[in-house]
Amino acid sequence: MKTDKEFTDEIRRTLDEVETDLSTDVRERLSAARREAISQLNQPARRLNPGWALSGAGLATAALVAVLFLPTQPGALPEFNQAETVAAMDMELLDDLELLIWILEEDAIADL
Amino acid sequence: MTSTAAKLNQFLIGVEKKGFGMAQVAVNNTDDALDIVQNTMLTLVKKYSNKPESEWAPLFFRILQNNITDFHRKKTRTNKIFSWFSNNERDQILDVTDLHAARDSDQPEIRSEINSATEKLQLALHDLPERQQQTFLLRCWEGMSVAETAQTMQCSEGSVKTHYSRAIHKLRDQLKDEWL
Repeated sequence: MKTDKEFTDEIRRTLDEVETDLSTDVRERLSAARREAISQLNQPARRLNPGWALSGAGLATAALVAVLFLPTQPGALPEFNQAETVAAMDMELLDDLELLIWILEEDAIADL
Repeated sequence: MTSTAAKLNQFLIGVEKKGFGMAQVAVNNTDDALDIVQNTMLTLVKKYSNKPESEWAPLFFRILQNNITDFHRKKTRTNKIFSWFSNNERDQILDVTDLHAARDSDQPEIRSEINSATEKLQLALHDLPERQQQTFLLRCWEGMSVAETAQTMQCSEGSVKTHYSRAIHKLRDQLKDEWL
C-alpha cells in the first residue's frame, strides 16, 4: 500500500498532466480573460459607496431582527406553517448578510 | 505594457491553468470554471495589483475559492427558486454533470467513459466536501504549506490539517481500485 506521500504525489502528477493537456479552446479563452483583466489595470475601480453599503447592511440586519423577534399577529398567515416559513426566510437573509459581509471585507482589505 | 502589467501578466500565466483546473473540479463545468477564473483575475488586477508580488498567489487562490463558494451559494439559491416548480420541471432545469450521469448509467458503454484513472480522480475530487476539496488542491497540487493554506482559506492551521487528512482518507477510499 502506498504511503500518503506516494499517493498524493501520484495525484499531483495526474493533475499536472490534466493541466498540460488543456484544449486549445480553453487555453485561448484563458488568455483572452487574462488580457481583459490586465487591460483593466489602470482604469479606476468602480467602488461600492461605503455609506450605501453600510446602509444596506443596516437594512438587512433590521429585516433579520424584525423576522426573528417581532411578534407575529395571530391569523396573519393562516394557510401556512409559520415556523417553516420564517425559518426559510431567516436562511435567505443570513445568506445575503454573509455575502454582504464578504463584499465589505474585501473592500476593507483593498483599502489597507 | 507597464512593469506592473508585465509582472501581473506573467503571474497570471503561471496560475491560470491551475486556477481553471481547481474551478473545473469544483463546479464540473468548463464555462462556469472559465467565468470563475476570469472574475478572479479581474478582482486581483483591479483590487490587489498594488500588493507585493509575494502576496499575489495566496490572494489569487483566496479570491478563486471565494468565487467558487459564491458560485455554489448562487446555485443553491437558484435550485431553491426552481424547487417551487414541479419536480419534472426542476429535473430538466438542474445540472446533472456528465461524469455523474455516466457513472450512474445502466449502459456499460457509457459507464466505460469514466474508466480512466484520471476521470475517476476528477470525479472523486469533485465529490469531496467543498472545504476538503479546497484544502487538498491547495496543499497537494499548488504545493502550499499548512500555514499558507490556512491564510488562503481564512481558517486555522488545525482545520487545514483536519480537512487534508479527511480528504486523503476519502480519496483513498474512492480510488482504492486503481490508486493504492
